[in-house]
Amino acid sequence: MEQVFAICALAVLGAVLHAALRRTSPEYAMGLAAVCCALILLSAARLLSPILSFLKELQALSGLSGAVLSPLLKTVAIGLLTQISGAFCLDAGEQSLAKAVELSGTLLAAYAALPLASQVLELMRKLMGG
Amino acid sequence: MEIDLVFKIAAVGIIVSILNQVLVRSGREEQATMTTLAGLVVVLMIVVQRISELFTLVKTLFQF
Repeated sequence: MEQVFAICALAVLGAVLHAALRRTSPEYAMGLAAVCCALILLSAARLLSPILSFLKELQALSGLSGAVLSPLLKTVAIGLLTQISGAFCLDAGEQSLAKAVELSGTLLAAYAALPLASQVLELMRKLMGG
Repeated sequence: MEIDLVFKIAAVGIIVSILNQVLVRSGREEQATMTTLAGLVVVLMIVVQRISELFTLVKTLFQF
């Protein structure tokens, strides 16, 4: 629970300092926003490890192979990273860069999910007796 | 959480903007530009370290 307060406090502090720096030196304001985001995400991402170990436990219980869960996790990671990078680009006023990052993220996520899609195709082929 | 980093970057920004103003008013535009660039490099070093730490953590957690 303290982590929520710390994250909120850091976000508000970052916003106030960003507003103070934006007019005189916008490049430092961008750096400040980037560091605030990185610190917030780092503190939140450390809590992801128990969630992921629970997912692995579920995977072991259901008898699924690692080849099924791995593309799923990779797609989630690609989504998170491209979303935050796109937001940085939007903050800097570079909409085209943000769109390029989002588009690349979509393509990379599709590529990461390709083994799953081919497994589904294989399963359908077996079901249809082909 | 390393809140001191946020204050450090804000302090660098304020100091560099003051230095920039002083140097520009005294007619040393080149030095003002170099000061701004040096401050930016310092800030970028901090930002890049944190972002690389975040990317490494995501990479480890999501089994890349």
